[in-house]
Amino acid sequence: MKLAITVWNGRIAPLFDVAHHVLVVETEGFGTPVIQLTTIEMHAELPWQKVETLTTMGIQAVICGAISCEYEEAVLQAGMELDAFVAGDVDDILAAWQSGTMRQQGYSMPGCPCPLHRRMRRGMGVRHGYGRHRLDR
Amino acid sequence: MDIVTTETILESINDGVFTIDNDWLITSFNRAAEQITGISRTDAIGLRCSEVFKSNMCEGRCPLAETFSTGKTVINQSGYIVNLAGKRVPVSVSTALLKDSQGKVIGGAETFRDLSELEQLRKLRARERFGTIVSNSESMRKILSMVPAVAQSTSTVLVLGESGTGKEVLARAIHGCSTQKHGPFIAVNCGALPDTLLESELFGYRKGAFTGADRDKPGRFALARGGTLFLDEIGDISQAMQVKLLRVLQERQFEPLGGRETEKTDARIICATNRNLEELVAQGAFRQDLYYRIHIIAMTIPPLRERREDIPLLADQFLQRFSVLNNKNLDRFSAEAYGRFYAYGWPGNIRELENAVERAVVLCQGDEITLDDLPAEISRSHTDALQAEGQSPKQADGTGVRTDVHSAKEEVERQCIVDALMRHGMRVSEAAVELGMHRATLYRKIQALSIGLE
Repeated sequence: MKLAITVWNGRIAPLFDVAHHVLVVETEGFGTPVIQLTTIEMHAELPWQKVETLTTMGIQAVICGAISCEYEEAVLQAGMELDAFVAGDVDDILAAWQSGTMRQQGYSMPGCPCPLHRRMRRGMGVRHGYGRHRLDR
Repeated sequence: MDIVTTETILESINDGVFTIDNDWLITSFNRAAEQITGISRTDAIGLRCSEVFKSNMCEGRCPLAETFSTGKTVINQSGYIVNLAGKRVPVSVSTALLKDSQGKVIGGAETFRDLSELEQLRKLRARERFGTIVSNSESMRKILSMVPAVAQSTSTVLVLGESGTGKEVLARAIHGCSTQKHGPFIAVNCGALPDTLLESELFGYRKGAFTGADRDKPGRFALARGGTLFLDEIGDISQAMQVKLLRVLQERQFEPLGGRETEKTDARIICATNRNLEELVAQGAFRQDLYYRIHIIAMTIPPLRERREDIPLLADQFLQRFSVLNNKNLDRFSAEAYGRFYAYGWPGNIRELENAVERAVVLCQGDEITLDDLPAEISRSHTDALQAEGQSPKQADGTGVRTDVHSAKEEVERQCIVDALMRHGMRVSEAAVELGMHRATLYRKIQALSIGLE
């Protein structure tokens, strides 16, 4: 599957809505190696336009920082899996993804009460932050 | 001032304040900042400000980054933050550098104000003006004052006006104030469909009515039960369709295609057209009986060129909307751009203005909309536009081309005053009341603009 991570200065971009760069990686799934493919530029666009850019690249999952409801809805409507309100160095997050150790590490944005925010939509749905609620993976 | 006093002040104010060190890590976070962001200071301190603040400004136009690079403070830069519920909170941000006793920069301070309440007030204000309809003009005010009374009745309404004047917006406003406001608002563009399609669209069909009708389909009259049916471009329907429509309007009954039973509808009907129906009736192209059936309450929306005083209000409204949609922080037009807006003829009316502003917002690279961002037909010499609408452009310099804002403003002012005087039979006192100025001021303006009172 293709995974998109919004990046800024080597970290997860703080806000998906205005994120300009997306790192695209290929992976078999959580706990498996990732192959970095490319970094694409994504200029500030309307929600559906931004999502269209991702879907035309075959993206199936997105890891990002904060995201507003409008953009979240657009990503989920497009059938993508969304992990939002994630913070941290991109390299650390990729390493944690590969080793399957995300659950031991807190990559949530501050103040994010993840289990309460968890919502299931369109299959996998959206999860806020990374650490605590990845236990089921 | 000692540290304790400073902290007490910071805790007591309603503006959020946080400070950062030279590595962008938060060093202090006051009570209001906790409230606005929903993040406690124990969680926030020591983290990167961008991951706590989560603003649309962080990545591209961080005010603190600007202050660090220029040494100058940023005052009231507007944007939004996204809270943990995914809601955008509008904020205005100001920044300053933090220096030690030797003058060495040791970090920065950011204060931010939650503008949600202001935003809500703005929305409430707009709602009082019937949804998205905003107007400063007397002619529109008269129409808007009719809306509550019209909305409470069940009579058919005919909305007239040029293309792009907002006929559907007015129809929606009537629906929104009516007792059937919780019912559906169904709009049909009658001019866009051929007869057979329009008939099945309006009345619906039964399974087997024609090839491909593999199931029952309710028509728009049925769908609009308990609500409002808006029939746009009513002047463009065929004579045959006019007969069928007349029967429904008279008897409130219709038969779906292929159906045997008669169905009833209680939908409120609002019709609209940009054609001159009286002329069409005289030519025999529109049935007189149908005309009188729909011409119970007629509301004519004036074109934008006849209510230029609404241009800034509408332009600002569109600017706000498209700025948010395009994630831009634009809140004003340059004086020259406004000048062209006033002087242009707007043959496409409000829709054209809306499109022009949307285009400008998308193309604009700076802080304000300038002439370069406007479409060529608007940004080129507005003398053409005035001539196109039959006005004679008066030039202060006699060169035949007026491009300055002052003369454009004068032209609009003159037009407003002349219109008001005409409406009140050249009675200055009454015109002054309508224009919201003192009689003496109006006399002075009439003299200055050389307007004849005969």
